[in-house]
Amino acid sequence: MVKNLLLAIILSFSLIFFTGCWGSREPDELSFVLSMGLDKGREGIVQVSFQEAIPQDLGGEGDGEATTVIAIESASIFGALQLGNTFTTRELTLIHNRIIIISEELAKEGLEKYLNPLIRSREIRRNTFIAIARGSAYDFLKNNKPILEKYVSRQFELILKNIALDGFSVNSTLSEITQSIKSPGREAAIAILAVNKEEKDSTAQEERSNAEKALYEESYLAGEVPHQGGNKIDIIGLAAFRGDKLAGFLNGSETRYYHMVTGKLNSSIFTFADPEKPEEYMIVMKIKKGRNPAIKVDLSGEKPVIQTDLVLEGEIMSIQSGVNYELAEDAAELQTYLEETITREVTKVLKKTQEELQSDIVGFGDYTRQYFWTWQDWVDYNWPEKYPEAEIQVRTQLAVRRTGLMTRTENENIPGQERVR
Amino acid sequence: MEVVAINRQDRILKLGYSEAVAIAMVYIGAKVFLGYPRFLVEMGLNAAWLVVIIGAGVSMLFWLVVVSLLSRFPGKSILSISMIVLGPVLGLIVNLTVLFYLIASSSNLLRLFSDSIIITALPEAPISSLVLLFGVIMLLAAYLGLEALSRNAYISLPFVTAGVLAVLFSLYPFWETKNLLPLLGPGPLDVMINGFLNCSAFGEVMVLGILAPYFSFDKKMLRNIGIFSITLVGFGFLAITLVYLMVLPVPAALEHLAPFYQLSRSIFWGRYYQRLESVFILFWTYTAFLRLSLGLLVVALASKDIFRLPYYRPLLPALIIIFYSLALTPDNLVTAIAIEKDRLLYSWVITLLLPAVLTLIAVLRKKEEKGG
Amino acid sequence: MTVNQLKQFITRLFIFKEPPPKEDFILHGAVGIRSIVPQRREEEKGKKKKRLKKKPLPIARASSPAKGGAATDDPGEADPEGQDGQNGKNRPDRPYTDMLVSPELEVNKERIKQIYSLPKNKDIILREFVIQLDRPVKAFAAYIEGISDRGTINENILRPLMSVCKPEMQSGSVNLAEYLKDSVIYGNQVDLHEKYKDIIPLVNYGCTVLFIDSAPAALVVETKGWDHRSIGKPETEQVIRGPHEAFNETLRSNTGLLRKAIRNTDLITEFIKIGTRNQTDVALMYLENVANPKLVAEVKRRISSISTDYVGETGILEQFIEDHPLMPLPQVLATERPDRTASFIMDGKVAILLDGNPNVLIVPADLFSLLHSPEDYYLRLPYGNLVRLMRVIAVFISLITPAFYVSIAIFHQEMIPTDLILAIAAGRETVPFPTIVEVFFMEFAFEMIREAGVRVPGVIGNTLGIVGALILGQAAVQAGIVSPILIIVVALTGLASFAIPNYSMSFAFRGVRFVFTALAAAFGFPGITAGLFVLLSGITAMKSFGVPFMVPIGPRTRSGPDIVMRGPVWSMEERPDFLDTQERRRQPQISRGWVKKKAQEPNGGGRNQ
Repeated sequence: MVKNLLLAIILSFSLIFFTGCWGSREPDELSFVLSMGLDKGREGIVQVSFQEAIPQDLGGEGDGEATTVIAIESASIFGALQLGNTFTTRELTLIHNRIIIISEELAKEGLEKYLNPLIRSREIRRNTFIAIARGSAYDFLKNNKPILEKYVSRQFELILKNIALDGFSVNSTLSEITQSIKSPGREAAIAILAVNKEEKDSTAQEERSNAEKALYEESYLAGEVPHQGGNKIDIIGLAAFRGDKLAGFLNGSETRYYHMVTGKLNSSIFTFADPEKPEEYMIVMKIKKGRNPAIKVDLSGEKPVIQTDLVLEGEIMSIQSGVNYELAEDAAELQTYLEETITREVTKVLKKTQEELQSDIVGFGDYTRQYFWTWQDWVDYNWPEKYPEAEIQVRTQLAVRRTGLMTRTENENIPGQERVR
Repeated sequence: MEVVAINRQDRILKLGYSEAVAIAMVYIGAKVFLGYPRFLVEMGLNAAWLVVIIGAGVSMLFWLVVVSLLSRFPGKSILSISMIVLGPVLGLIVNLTVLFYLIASSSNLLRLFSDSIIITALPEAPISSLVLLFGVIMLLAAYLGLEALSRNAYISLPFVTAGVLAVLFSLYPFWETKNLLPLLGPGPLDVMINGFLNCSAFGEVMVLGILAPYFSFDKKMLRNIGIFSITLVGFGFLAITLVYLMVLPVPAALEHLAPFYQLSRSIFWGRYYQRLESVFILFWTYTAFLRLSLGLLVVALASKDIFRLPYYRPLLPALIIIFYSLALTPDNLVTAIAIEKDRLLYSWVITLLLPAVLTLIAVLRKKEEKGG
Repeated sequence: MTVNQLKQFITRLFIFKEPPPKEDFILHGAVGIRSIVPQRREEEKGKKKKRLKKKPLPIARASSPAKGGAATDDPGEADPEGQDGQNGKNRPDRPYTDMLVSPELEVNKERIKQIYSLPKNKDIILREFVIQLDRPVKAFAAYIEGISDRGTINENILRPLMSVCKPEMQSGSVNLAEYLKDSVIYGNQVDLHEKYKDIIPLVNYGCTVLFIDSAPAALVVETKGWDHRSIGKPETEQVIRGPHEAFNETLRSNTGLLRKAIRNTDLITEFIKIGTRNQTDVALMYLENVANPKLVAEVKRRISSISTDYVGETGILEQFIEDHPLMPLPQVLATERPDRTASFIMDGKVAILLDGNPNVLIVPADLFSLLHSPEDYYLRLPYGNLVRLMRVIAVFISLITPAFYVSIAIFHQEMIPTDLILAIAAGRETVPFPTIVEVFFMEFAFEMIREAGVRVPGVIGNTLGIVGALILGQAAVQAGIVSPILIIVVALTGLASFAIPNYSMSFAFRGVRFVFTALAAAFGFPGITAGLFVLLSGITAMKSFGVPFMVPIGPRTRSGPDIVMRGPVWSMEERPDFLDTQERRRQPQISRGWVKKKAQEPNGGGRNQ
């Protein structure tokens, strides 16, 4: 009996082994795509760009490029992948693909048809980053030369994490975006990136007053950031979607105020004009999230009323004027000033999403779920239609907790010095 | 030199309650790694968790009825009891129906698990190769017997549970409780009806009735074990369904072929640890091996019981061929999923209603057997 | 013709053969009886969850310690002579079986010559001499050169006999031999025997036999003495903390070592002889009022049922008595440490010592005790557990690391960081084989180095070793035959396999890992799972002397805090439940006298008389 069993085992195992190892692929037979770009090609066709990694030893110093970019025109993403194999020695695979960059043009036509195959495929990670490129995705991949990192996958991993913490953009992953697109309660917000235009400063910025310049110092869209040297790309701002179609952009500074409402702003440095001398001096504050914002949506009235309470904490980084805002009365003054400014700016951003973008990227719609008993009722309420008409109330509460290493500024020339006790 | 025991049939073995609970939990719970959470969401939208609770409650009531039947005939399996209560002819017909159900359900699971592995881990492998792998493993495990399998289940269950919990808690950053609202999903009536139908999912607890002769404890304990396993598995279903709804909310939740796999795909532990779904494949394929081997063994033991055979092992090669061919019968995965869906909707008629009717008949005909 | 054979083979696969009637031994208590515990304890620890045991099987068991003393009167019990007689039945090659010592000296001499094929056999020494009584009595002594002590023979036998001159004793009297035994010979063990079948085995074991003219019985004097190794250090089970004694090749000194450790009258040493031609001594050692008498009887039954020519090593004995010879895992624990053996004996297990062997077999063995090292207990609790934890990890590493590597490299490339998979791919650029071949090649090379390291003569052995392996690996990488990461995998696996304390166990895991690697190459992670599943099923189906191998977690039985991790020593209050010992308790519930209040009496069983 035992002998028979043993023979049976041997027979079946040999059957398994002699027929080969199904689906096994040696790592040196694969070409790992690290990032992918989607551009509009000719009518009904997409241009898909793949950034392939050239394997290099971890220890060995890789001379030459670590990656190479190819672009293929095809009807579908996976068709392009197949076509790519006609001139690549190794089989292209998307299992290590870290980011998918979609051009603005395609985004305006709608993302759904491109995202669907990505969700269906087992090769694509669910937490693959999605970004919208201003201009061409292929150009971006071509021009993106990370300086500190060898491979772009690590570059995006790090940069998107930092940017999301600072609030300049969103850490938009495939899974979040598809869910936002499908859910009736919110809309998708996707990071935008672009090749830097290497301009000194935008004209919009020059027209502003000094006080506004301070307040809007980060109001750039990707591609406009005035920087020199380094990698010639920017990732800043977000693209708001209505359904699966691109509705418009929020610039860097707007994105930060938007993140105050979503609660994703961890800590970021803001510049405000000095309340006493707005045109000459400014105050630099590090603003942190104190608590998650409390959002309430009231549906009892004719229009929905959205009530947002922000709880923030501040830390003084710089007071150019030398006014001792650290001291009790002035601190209260400063606090009120900052709270008012932030409330104004947040309201402005939310108004923009209502009127210009008509897209609930914050996800206020999810807060209306509790007023309904059944799914159908909620869907029938049709929140996306109601959102632009909603009334938005923002309340901000900001506490200046710390003042850096200084407790006050001693300066003889400054008026108000007599207040020093 | 005394001879301790000389066999003229398979050794009579007695399982303890830990092993019994493990068997029941694996037998009921394995399908959660297939499309079951999606099926729940289809029935209850974002109130799928309510469907689980109602289903578990209803099946517990049924189980109480069944245990009262089992306690009328101590040491007898539910199949033997049906022969006694319904008489040899009708009983045989009923038993054959049950046997057919057992074979069909387990072989369809074989197909589904093989297909899941192909989709999730080995996209290039032919289906027959995986069915063959499962077949060989099932044959070996079933040959080793109930004792080995039950202990295996008992030992591995904590690890599988730990794996499931690891997936659920790794997703903590993505939990979004708002996704559970509106509270009643498709509406109270739908939730109630679907919740009742969902008792089929727990109907597999009847495996305890089939294996009753192999347990060493009394019927009161058996009752507790049934309820205990339903509760534990119910909690497992509940946790997975809740996390599924919170992480992959409703419109998207209706789409995924293998929800648990999708959940494990969503894990992101920072840039060093991601795409851990392959690791979690270890846990759910292990459960699959356990469940399918148990499925084969239960069928073999049931046939032994029905046809009053001295051994079950000679049946195994034949049964495995039946399983193999039945598993490969559906043309495509969609058909297999549809069959599984029908099973989840209506199998309670066989697994729960039938024993309940048996109980009624036994009470009416005053059939009872005292003593062991 | 071959087609027919194939057909036959296939039909044989599917045809069930009724299993031959087999004696089925289950150690009750492992799957049987609810343990008899002091009722008090249950009540005291009322909150402790009641555990259901398997239904009691109707067996009579000597449960109370009072009855324990009578336990050895079981039918299975047999004295060595009885065993010998049983084994010796129908053996044509023993001409002396029924012979008696003849009163005529010449007859006896002829018989001895015949039995030992003198003068061909040079090992047997016949020394003829004359005993000086009132009249000279002829006598001769026979012994085997090399295993008997010359000094003892000279000083204690020949000198007194050849110089006695006590005229009061009448020569030729019936009691001459008796008289010599009582008053003349100095030997520490002297016996009178009349049957050759009693005498010959003793002579074979170094005794000197003394035939005296006209006496119908022979004197057998204990003169064993041979060259042997002195007690040395353990070779395979080294510890840093703990005794450094090991068993050696002398049965008697081994039993002495154990008796030195367990100073208790209940420690029983029973002898059984096995081997038809050789009659090797096997000693069973157990605590009479602790060990389960059924277990002792079963061990005796298995050992005495062996009929073979020669059992020279415990490894061979192990293969004769184990339950599942084809399973990869050992079912008998072999150790060379007296301290470890003693602690197992105290637990109620049975130690089997074989003459001429420095390894002692302990039965029954379970998986967890095979993975424990004695040092776990000698070290303090935190360190002991740290060591255990590392060992658990080592077990898994040695089992599945190569399999894991293979399945990640060829199936699941997505799950490791991008940088690493690119490094693996870069490392494999120059390698001309598929990953699986590469892995098998390196693993095989490693095993070969290990095997060669054992067999290599000591003089050149120093040059070989792990260092050699690493150099080989380095060269292989530079030659581009294997990828560098694989070297790490292989080295890690090898290292982990040496962290497993039991030699057989480490073999088992090293062997199984090849199967796992093959499965991984065919099916990736599902293949590994399949392997683990079958392995665990196999292990749970195994039994060692009636005790399930995975006890106490499969099946679940009551157990102390010593399975994978261990609790503090004072919390290990009970002996393992699965042994179903006659006395459950090792120590009272509060074993540390100084932590309790004065008035309280120690409860629970006093351990020994």
